[in-house]
Amino acid sequence: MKKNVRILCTLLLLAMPLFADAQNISVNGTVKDVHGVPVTGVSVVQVGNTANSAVTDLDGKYDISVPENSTLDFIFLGFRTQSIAVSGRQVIDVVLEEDAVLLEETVVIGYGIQKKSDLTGSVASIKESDLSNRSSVSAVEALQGKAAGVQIVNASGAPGSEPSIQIRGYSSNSSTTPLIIVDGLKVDNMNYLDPESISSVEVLKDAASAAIYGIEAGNGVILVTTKSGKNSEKGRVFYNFMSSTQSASHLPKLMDAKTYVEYQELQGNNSRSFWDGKTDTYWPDYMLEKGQAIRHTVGLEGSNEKSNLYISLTYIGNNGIIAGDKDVMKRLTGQINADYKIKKWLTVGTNNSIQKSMLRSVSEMQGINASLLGSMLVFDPIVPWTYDNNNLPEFVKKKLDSGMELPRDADGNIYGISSQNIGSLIYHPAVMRDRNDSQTDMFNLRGILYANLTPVKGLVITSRLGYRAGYSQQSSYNHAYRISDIGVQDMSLVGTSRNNLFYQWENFANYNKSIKKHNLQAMAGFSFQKSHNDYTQGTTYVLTDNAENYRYLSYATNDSRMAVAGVSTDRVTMSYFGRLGWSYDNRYMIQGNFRADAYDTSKLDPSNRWGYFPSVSVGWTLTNEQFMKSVKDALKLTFMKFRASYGVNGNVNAMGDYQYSDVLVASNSNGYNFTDYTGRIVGVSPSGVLPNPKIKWETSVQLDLGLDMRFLNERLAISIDWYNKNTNDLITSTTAPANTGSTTTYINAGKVNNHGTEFEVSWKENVGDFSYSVSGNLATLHNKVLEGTQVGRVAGYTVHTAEAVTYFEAGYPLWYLRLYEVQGVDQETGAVIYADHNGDNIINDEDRIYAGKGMPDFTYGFTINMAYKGFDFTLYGTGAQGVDRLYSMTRADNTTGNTLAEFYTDAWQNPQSTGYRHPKPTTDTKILCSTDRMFDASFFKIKQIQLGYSLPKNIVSKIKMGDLRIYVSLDDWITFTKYPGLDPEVGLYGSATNGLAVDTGSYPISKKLVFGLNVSF
Amino acid sequence: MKKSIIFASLLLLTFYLSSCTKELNNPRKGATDFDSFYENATVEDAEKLIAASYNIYFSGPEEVQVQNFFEIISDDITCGGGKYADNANRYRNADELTCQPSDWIFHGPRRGYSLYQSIYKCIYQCNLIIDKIPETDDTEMKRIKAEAMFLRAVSLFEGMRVWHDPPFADHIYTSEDMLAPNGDPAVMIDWILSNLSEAANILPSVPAKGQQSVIGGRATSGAALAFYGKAALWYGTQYNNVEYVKKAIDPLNSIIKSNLYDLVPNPQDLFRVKTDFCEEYIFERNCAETGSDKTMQNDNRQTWRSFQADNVYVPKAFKGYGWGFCNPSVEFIEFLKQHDGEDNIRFQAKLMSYDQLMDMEYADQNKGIKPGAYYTNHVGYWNATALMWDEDLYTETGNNFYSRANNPIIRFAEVLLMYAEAQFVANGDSDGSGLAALNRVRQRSQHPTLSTLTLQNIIDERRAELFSENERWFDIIRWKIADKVLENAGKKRYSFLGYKEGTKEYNIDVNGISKGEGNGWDDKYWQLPFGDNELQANPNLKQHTGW
Repeated sequence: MKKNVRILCTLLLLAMPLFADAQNISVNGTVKDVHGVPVTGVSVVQVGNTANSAVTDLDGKYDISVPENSTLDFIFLGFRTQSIAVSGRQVIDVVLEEDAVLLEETVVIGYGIQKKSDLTGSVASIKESDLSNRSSVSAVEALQGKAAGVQIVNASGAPGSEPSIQIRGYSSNSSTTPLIIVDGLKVDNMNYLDPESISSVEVLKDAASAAIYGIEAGNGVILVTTKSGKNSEKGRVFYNFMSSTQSASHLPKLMDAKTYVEYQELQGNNSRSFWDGKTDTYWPDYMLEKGQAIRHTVGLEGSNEKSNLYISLTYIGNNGIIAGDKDVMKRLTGQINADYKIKKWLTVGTNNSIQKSMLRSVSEMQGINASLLGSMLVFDPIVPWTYDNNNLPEFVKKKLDSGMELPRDADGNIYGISSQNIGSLIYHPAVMRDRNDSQTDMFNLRGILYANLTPVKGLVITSRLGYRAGYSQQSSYNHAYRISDIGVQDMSLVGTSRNNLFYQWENFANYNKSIKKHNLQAMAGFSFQKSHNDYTQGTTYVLTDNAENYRYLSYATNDSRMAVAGVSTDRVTMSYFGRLGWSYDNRYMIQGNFRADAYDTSKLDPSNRWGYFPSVSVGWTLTNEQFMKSVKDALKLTFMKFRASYGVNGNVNAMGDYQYSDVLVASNSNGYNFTDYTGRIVGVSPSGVLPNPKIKWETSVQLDLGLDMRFLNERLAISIDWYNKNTNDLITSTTAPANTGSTTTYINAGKVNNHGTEFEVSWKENVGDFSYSVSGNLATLHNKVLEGTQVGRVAGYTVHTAEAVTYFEAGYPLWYLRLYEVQGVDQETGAVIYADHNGDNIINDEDRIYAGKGMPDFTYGFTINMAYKGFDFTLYGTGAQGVDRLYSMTRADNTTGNTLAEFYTDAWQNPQSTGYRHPKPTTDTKILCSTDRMFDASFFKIKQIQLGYSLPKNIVSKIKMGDLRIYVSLDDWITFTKYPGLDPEVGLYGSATNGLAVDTGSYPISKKLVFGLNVSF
Repeated sequence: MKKSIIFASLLLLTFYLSSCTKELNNPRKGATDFDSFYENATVEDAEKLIAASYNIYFSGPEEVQVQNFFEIISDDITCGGGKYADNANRYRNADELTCQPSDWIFHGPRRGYSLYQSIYKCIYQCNLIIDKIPETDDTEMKRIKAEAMFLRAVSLFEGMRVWHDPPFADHIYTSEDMLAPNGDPAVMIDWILSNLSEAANILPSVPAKGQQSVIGGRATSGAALAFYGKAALWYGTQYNNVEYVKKAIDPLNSIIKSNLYDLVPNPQDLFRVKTDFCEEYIFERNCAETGSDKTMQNDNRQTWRSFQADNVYVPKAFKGYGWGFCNPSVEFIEFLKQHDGEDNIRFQAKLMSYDQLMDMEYADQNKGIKPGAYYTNHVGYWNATALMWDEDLYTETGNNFYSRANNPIIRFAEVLLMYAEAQFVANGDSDGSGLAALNRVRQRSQHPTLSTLTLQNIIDERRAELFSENERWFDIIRWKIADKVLENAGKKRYSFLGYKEGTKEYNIDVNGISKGEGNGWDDKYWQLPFGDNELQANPNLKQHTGW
């Protein structure tokens, strides 16, 4: 085919008239592709005078006036640009050749790469262009909304917090974060990566693609490839700058003092007697400020035929939105990637990330009396920020007289104290912030060293050593105070040092062979991984001096409560893996993966340590079939492929240590004292686990069917995937028959089904100087526990001093909200009427029902990119629909806390009230575990509105620059939601996701105004 | 050539690596090999095992939250707490008789494991010591094994008191027979009694005062005999089997006659540091400070049951840090007013009135119920047996407070009362020694002696003397009076607001501030339920009627 094009072009050239004139002439013609289909939207530009251009119409026709000796460029995305000399011709028809490079786009897969057109699994590929110019500081955030079925879950929006990734929903009663591989190195997270240094991210969503990672692939696999130096002898030095101002985007409507007092009176608490009638404190106003973040990146890249080099250094400083400097992250990241082709058959290289960071964070999500975010939302509005030292209320004076140490602000003013009796466990938000000074300093090196050998054509042998090493130092200082007899905190200092070392050595060979129309691929390899972690911790309660420069363990005074801790942990895994693929004529593809994994005895009994994970996938490119030609022409279809895959994955991360065995544990706390004073004897007793050597990893089996289509000269691309994933053998701790003397046993039980459909659609087009692209994705998610891990239901998250509200139970979504259903309100009394579902006239636990879930029905995202001349514009948004959340800021035993205004303003207040949503305020615990406190937490967020401008080349070249781009961006600026709490996007996300549907006060994601500058030389 | 060398060495390395599966062996840290430890156990090793057995026992049936539950479910004590709603631990269900098999007391875990589990954990620990440590003639080893017999018998007895027919754990269960059915009470009681009598023969017999402190409250022959009597009397009365009541007489009598024990003169001294290892305590939890490691050997029972400083000003003598649970019930206060009288020494040892509280010394002018506050489930009397006396607390500073006061498990007064009861039931107290024993208890409380013994005398004396010592619930069940005394359980809630304005009259709110939601007695409470998780784990275990 390509040969034909070349002949055609030659003929065209030969047919050119052989005269020339310097005057403008009108040139027209038709642009078609190699199949003879007219191409719309091709830019026809006069070389040297880009202002003069035209665009082909629907029939591929164009018309342009140019000097007769000029040259025209025919530019269209996905096609090779053609430059044609006009040479006085008035009709120039052009056949554009598809850009082979684009069609041969490759995708990184486990232990190899594959042509995108040959893919048989479901792999989302996110390229550099999707990631560049993002103002996010975390690589995970940058993935949000970019691929269907890849959900970014934020437990917190605080600086340095680490969002987690969920691929195709939650499928286990334990943590379900995917395996992350960066340049072949298994890493614990990818937040350390600077988004700027990433070349591509591949998400292996289906079981067959992931199966090559066996026992760790059950939650999907994310493959990150960092940049290598670009193909340029000249080299490039670049500097990127970004500065953003952050603020809270959405503040809940809390009760003001008057409403609060009335609300409390209605529920029987006499708060009015504690109110001076004037004070009205809106705590978020005091506790929130404008945060600042900056980022500098400086780097260089260059390459020649033998080597590539990429070096970048990024500094990020982020002081979040909580007033003061207690929510701060500072991070310095260096990326050094280099490779060198030493011999024709040998290439060596190394990629390294060096990270040094400092983190300070405020408390959140710990129940309202233990976190700053909680106290900010529940502290009484009738309490002032601080007292006038010359005019202290009586009860504060009394506290001082009785020797209380009351916390004060920097000027020595005493912070407001809740005077209501039960308030003694709930502290002023500033106290919650200042009671503890803690800081974590970290240093990490992550990298690989590899050699690729190519002894014969088609064979590549790779030996790769991956390593991670680092340390962290954490210091936590608690200030002493005594607010009441109960509200006491002693001075204490905890210092923790952690060291970690991980290495993996992998040897594998890839072989590729084409024989006529057959293409064969084979890969086989071996992997060994070992990690070693160590920590040492010291705690002291007395220092020789409490001044700041004495807050180190060296200045501890001996005291009986002093404590030390520390232990080292080793983990080893060993694996064999292989892949066989065959394709015929670019039409039929089949691929099989296999992995065998062994885990050390910390997780699995030796008799049961090997796991085997097979998978198979097939593909059929219909558009390469002869019989499709007419269909293709009729539908303007350029590409269509069916994919199907089936595979088995494991999830060993759900397993705890030594859960299969019982041992004797010697412990001081288990001992007893056989004299009247000293002489406590260490106790030795069984650990209480009923041995189960048969326990094994969790297994998931997934079927994926996919269809990829591209239309209209590749401008429109549509991809659809349907999957069905069953996760079996969940690891669960269950009650052992107690008569054995053991209390727990670990078993494989339970089954969770996830299925859903994922759509991705994109459209891109150039119209003259204007180019734009629109892409969108949507993923539905149906989650259901098919078999419970035990008879009945397993309780999950508990509202403090009330009841468990989330449950794991067959027939329902994972950790669904099981609540009392509010059926109505007694118009006379305002009392709640709960639905009596079992009809026994008693409202108790048995009447609670499925009320909602923390997992959305579907998630979606879209991105619009536009460029015109030097301007570029990006709009991108993401959302989740069909998700519920329990507003759970109130402790059952602290009914005098503040809450959302609507619990009064939209509540029954007297028998004449009408149109209210909530019953008469009540201190009954059941209301906290009822549908009255549950809200729709669906949301849609415009994550980014960015406008950039690149200075024209002729200007920047004058100042000796390659590129200069400036931009402004509004990030997380607009949220559409009905949720009344702080931020529907963040939520309690425990290790077992059991609190996903519960809001206990998380640090919200702030909205940011961003300014940035990118320059290169 | 060079290439092939490199490839060959790479291949070799791969094979070398694949052969080193020994890397996969990863021994557990902080753990001891199960079988060899018992096989080769020295006396020192065995002491570590028995130390853990005591620990498990004291954190099981004798643990404060378990005790709280059985106090609250009885008619003597109500749940209390900061607010009526502040009973996430289901004490309210116990108070109102609205328990469910999913409540933590049956289901657990509240403190790592449930009561049911901790009982069997203790028995298992003891079975391992008895069965797995080889027989020797070493007297120390024999003593440790006898202690194991004592602890496993007492644990199963506690299980029987609660459930009557829990599984019989006379041996170490294997995976073959681990799904044990309900036990046969008749078989189990004989096993308990034979274990206790064997333990009594081996364990040392020491005078309580002076000597028991040397051994830190380890089980003695006297403790085994006392529990023998207690178990036999319980079984005999619970199952109306006079033969077993008779069995209780001799062991109890031998304790009385041994002169190793006596009553302390002032009942107000009980449960304080001053009566640690006193002549009255036959078996007690040693709550001594434990030297350098400072592990609290006490649970925080005083914290649970002391004044809640949020609601009331706390006198100087006490630490102002309590949670206010387990308050005396109206019924008990009325009973004790009748039986002992408010001025009686024992009355004041058991109850502290608001008037008394107001008379104590305070740090400043403030005293009484705090402005705007009230005390929930309360009528103006506190449980005086569990107060947080400042002078009794551990010397530790910090946020949680523990008392050094030992916790008596069985004391001489109870032995006297059990003896009186056994005598009365078995032979109508034919020789009058039962009455004499009862009168000894009365005399200590400065009450006149009685001239005749009736069952009601015994019932009332036990109720007064053993208040808040976790006996009442089991007594009203075995005496079959629970349905009467708990007829209206949980229907009324009292809140205490201090004095009525300008008077010394107690201001008590009934069913206003908080309202009782109980429905009174239900016959299913004659036998408490097994936890729902246990029924799931063990399909051979049958639930009791009505649950």
